[in-house]
This record gives sequence, structure tokens and C-alpha cells, in this order.
Amino acid sequence: MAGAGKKTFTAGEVLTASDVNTYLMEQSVMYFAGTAARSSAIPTPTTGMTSYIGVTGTASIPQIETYTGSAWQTPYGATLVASRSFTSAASVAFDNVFSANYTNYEIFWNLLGASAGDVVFQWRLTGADVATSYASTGVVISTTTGAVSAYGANASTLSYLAQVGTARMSGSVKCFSPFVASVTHITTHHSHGTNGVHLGGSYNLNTGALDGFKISAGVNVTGEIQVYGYRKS
Amino acid sequence: MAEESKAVIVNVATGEVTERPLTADEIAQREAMQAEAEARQAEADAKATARESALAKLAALGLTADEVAAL
Repeated sequence: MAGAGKKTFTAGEVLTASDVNTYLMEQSVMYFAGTAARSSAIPTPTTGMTSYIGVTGTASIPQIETYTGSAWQTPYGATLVASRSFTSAASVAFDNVFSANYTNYEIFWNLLGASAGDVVFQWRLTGADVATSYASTGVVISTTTGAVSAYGANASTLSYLAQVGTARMSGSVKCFSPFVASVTHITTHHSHGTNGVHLGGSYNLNTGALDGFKISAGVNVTGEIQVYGYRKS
Repeated sequence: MAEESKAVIVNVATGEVTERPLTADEIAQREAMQAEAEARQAEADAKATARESALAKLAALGLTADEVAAL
């Protein structure tokens, strides 16, 4: 089993099958094409076993996971769980990106608009948009005058995220416990390109375990999105 | 000819990526969103223009920039 630690072999010592299994096989980093293949190969993992899960699709992210005694987990800290670049898209949705594997998530985006247009955020649940019960507010601070303009919306179909233009825009969205079946919150901020800085937040009253999100734009956008997961234990 | 608008859907569980044209409903929602954004921008532009005009009138009355800023 993993956890045997280290053994220093001496010259002429017999290398037993048990030693190979205990010190080498079960304490190596094992490669599997997916978690199903790993479960098949290791039906009863032991604490400390470590594996590398390879790419199973064009959008998969390889992961190193260690068995804690009750579950396979990625290392502590931010873990990249999804990444995608795209060109001339009206919307980009990520399904099955939120799960019980992580508690909180952060989405980073970089977008270039075909022209000026709004960018909005919606949750997704089992492959469908959540298009009701958003309440959002925020401020946009002008970089030229420092003027602050505030907005707020209740019972809306989406959460405002940004206004893109033909200069590159960057921002992030913090998602708090989206996979917990309760009201779900985000905070968002982004650099408004030549216009200013936007700080905002929203909540949604859907009490399902939200497993995805969609970013849509009023104009076609080119860019990339990354999603990182954070565990609390 | 207008560029076709597409939806990109990434299934993180399987690694599959789907690209498809927007549905009629999605196109309608998008047009409404864009119209709302343009109206909001027009309102903001009008406010900025009115502010500049007000500042110019205050300056014409003899107020200094510091006095205007103190208002």
C-alpha cells in the first residue's frame, strides 16, 4: 500500500514482488486516461496514492490527484479546471465545470469585441441557461474623470458583466459555492479598457446545484476564458 | 453578409466542445441586450455632454476651476 515510505535496498538483497508493489508501484505517480480507468485499475485506493489523469477530450485539463483516504483530490490552492479560447462567438458556455470537488471558483476572461457591446453572465443548470431571478449592482469608475456611475437591477434575466469594445478587455468573476443548492453569489470586476473600471456583484435565487455558466455578448467576441477551482478541505 | 453568430459550449466532464448557430430565441435576446446597451451608452453620452455644457456655463459666469470642483 502507499504510505510504506522509503526503503534503501542493499547490494545483493532480494527484490520481492511485495517490495516492488509497495515501494515502487503504489508510491509512483500512475498515469490514467480518465478517472474511470483509474477506478478500474485501483478499485481500493490507499491514502497517499497519486495519479495523473490525462486528457480525455479537446477541452480536458490534465490533473494530478492524491487519494486522501476518502477521495481523490487535486493539491491545495487554485486548480485549473477549464480553459478555452474562441473566435467570433456570441456566447461561451461551460457545462459540468462546477462540482463537489471544489467549493469556490474564479473565472478569468479576456475578450475583444467586434464593436462595442455588453457582456453578461448567466448560470447554467444541467445544460440549460438559468434565465430568471438575478439581482445585481455595481459601479463603473471613469479613468478619465473619476466619475462614478452606479447601476442596479432586480428580478432580471442575467447579471451584467462588462462592456467590451475593440480594445482588449480583461476581468474576473468570483463564484461562491455554486454547486451548493442555495442562493448563489458572484462578485465581478474588470478593466473597462479605455473607459474605466467596473466593480459589481449579483446573486441568483435558483436553489439548484449550479454546474455551469455562460458568458454572452451583444457583439461577437474573440478571446479566452479560464476557470480555477478552490477547495476548502 | 453579416457574420453568423455562434454559441460555443464546453462540456468539462467529457472535454467535448460544441459550436452551433444561435437559435431564434437567442438572437432575439441578444438584439434586445444590444439595444439596451446602446440606449444606456446614449444616455451616458448625453449626461457627459450636459456636464461639459454646464461646466462651460459656470466658467463663463466667472467661476474658477477650483470653485467649480468645490460645488
